[in-house]
Amino acid sequence: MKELILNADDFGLTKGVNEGIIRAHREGILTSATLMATGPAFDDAVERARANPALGIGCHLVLTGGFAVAPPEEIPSLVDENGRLPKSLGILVARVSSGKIRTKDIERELRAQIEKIRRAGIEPTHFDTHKHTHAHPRVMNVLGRLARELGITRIRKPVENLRDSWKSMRGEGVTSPKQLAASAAVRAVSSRFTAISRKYGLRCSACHESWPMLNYFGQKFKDNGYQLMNDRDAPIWQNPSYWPVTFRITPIWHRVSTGKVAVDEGTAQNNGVARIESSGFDLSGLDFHTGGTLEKNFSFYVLPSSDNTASFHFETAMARLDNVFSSPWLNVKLGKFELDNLLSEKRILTLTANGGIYQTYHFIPIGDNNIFGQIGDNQLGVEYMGHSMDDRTRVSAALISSSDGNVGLITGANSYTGFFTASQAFDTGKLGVQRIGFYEMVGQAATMYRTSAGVPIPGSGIGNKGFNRIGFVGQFYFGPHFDLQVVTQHGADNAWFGQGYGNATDPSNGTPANDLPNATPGTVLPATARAPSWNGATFEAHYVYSPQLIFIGRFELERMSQQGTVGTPSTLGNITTYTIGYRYNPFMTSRAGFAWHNEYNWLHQDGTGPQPGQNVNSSELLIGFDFDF
Amino acid sequence: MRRKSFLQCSLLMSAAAVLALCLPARAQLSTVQLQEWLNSPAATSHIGNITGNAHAAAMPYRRYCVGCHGELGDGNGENAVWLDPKPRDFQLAIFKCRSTPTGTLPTDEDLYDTIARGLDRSNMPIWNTFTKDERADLVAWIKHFSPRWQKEKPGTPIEIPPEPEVTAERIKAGQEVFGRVQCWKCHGVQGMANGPSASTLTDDLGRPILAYNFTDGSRPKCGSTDRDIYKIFMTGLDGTPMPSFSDNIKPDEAWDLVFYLRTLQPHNAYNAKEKQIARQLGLKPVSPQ
Repeated sequence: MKELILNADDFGLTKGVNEGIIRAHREGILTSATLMATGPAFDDAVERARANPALGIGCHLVLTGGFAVAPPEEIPSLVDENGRLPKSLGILVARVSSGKIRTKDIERELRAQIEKIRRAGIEPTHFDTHKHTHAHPRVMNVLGRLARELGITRIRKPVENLRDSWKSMRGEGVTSPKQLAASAAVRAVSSRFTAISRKYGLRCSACHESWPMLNYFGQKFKDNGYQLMNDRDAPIWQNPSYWPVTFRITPIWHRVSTGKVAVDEGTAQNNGVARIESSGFDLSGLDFHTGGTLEKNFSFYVLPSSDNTASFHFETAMARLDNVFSSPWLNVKLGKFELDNLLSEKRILTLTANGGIYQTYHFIPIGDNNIFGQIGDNQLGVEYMGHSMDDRTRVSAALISSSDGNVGLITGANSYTGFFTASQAFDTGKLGVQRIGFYEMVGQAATMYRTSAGVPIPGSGIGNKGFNRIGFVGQFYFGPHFDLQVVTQHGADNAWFGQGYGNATDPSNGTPANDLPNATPGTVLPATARAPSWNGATFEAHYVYSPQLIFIGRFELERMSQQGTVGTPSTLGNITTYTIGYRYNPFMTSRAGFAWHNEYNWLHQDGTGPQPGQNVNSSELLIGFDFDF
Repeated sequence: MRRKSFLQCSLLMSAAAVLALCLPARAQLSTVQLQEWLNSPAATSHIGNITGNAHAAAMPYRRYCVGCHGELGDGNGENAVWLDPKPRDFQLAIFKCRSTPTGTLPTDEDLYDTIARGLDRSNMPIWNTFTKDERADLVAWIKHFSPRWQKEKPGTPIEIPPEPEVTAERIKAGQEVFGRVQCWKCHGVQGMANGPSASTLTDDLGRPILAYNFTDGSRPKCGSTDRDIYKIFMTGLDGTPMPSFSDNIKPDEAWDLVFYLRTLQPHNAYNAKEKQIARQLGLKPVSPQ
């Protein structure tokens, strides 16, 4: 393997330079030179190159100084009326950056220079540019295009150590801050060059109604196992430096207002209850999304996610097989993943504490301790998914541990839950594609744990009792600008859960929580216990002004239909909440996302204040930058 | 030391300023012209009883297409640099997948089908998630980019005779056509895209291009049915080295060639009978002469 190639540029500048290069080649270790098509001693250089076939010749492309090769009338923005190129690097950079020099003219001139060299009978093997002008991204774009056309894989990467440049300049008495600035610019650009493209080069708006919420095309892409299905999905088609990682974090300012908080300084007016208001700058957690294909029809998704103190957990970690037996109806995934919710909470467009989740996906009656029926939490299990080629029809069935996604078999050992969905989409012409469907979660979870010295033993759950969640899902579009997403839920838990059984070992850290009830043998339910049930609904509307600006409005209500204990106020725990906001993406590319985010949430819950019958109102205003790269 | 780092800092800042200036300044030359064409009768499409209107596609085009095809439809979106094959340049209005003779404009249905089919082995996805109306609108939108749609009418679709029964004679005759018109020069004697000219192929803009490999299981670019394959070599893939053979191959022979090409493909939903006959015949590749 070649580790070092020495290349001399400015071949063709003067006869003296040419002479020096040939000597360095014959008598020294120089094996490569780049030829200037605009050089005054071009013909001499060509002659010498022919006489020295072992010397690899590339193109030293010139955009500053001297005369252009292309006729001036073909490249009017690049040259003056005499056909002279810009005098200096600084002038060139300023004129290219401001758009005064058109990319088309740069391309014509560079083509003419390459053509001149080829006409002289020399097939160039590599490129570089006089004064590293290809450090400029617009010049690089042209150069990249030409290189691909000519099958040239080597372009000089102009990285210079700034410190050394500075030292040598001082030492040699050179004072050229422009050159130094260009060198710094080059570093940034070169490192971006290695990142090349994000995998498909589609804009984020192609798959996302507004990032991160998927649109129909994005849903189909996901259902195909993160594949466009164009035989270019396997990573072997990517540039080897492509690495499928995106990180996301959101610096914010927010104001949180919580009503009916018990406080010590009780007065006649406040009765020991007060509203707490806090505001300040804050941070969200950090997500590292990494996902994509391992090979055609083999894909993965791993999402290490931290809270805002950088304490990490695996939010998602799964591998999947798609199109088994070449059928879109046979796809399987295994690991920790989001349940097949069409209105995905993991792709929610809102960020506040109460408005950043769907209440319908997490509702638990007051006094109930069944955390396992939350369809919004990522779960551990295996999922079958099938869909038609155009994804109009979708079905899925998942078998998950009743652990609410917690690892280590602390809870969820020996108990399983099923989650089933089906949906169908309809073409309604100008209105768009409408979709309706349903989901059902049917599960069992332990209510009884064996004990050691009176303390429940994690993972020893037995005494499974049942629960279920069932609902309707609708995605309705009214032309390209307006849509309404609807999810309903009817939930019911076994009476044991209603009395607080079912979670006697705290799944968050694996330590038994002694204050939680455990149905040890002989425990009898009180006569007033019965199965709690409730109904909920989420309505989320979007006004998509453009792919870069979306307005969001959401209204949710959760209503108890039967409390777990006779005599409990019928409205206890009812939730009414709304969230409004907008997200504005000032730019739209396939490389990164940035949203200016503004949101307000208001939440009302019945009867959960410190004193009986007290309702609690809370609100949050949030402003922030939500970005990913 | 302090002064040096201050200088370095300020130089870095000015470098950052240079970079900040490098924002794309897009050419505005033809936007006025495009606006005029957008309001012309050519910027509509008719597919069956659906009428597409270009104005309705402005937002979908921006959402889904512009990153590759560019705001001016010139195939020069910000991602175009990284793509191979390159996105279609709608300003040239030269399209691969047509039912019309070579050199002519495609029909609205041709473009409508291409959007939903996608182009295999390229970054053009299968856009079958659109409604029929949305696709028709996008076809109308595509047509507003080129002066050709203002001046020319789409070509008349070629006549395709009804598909005959597959027989051993027809497959052998198809193989004779394959040898005679020298399909193998690019596609190789076994259809493996390794013919003697395969490595030299470039498209009309001089960019390297690959011949279709019949044997690797990938989908033909312009559709998988027998009629689609018939159309490919009888209309040619304009803009590529794949010419139209309508002057060299008679319609009946064209079906023979379709049947022979089927034998080169691995088993798929269309070629059970052809594969079976080829096996019985013990068909050998043509000899390259």
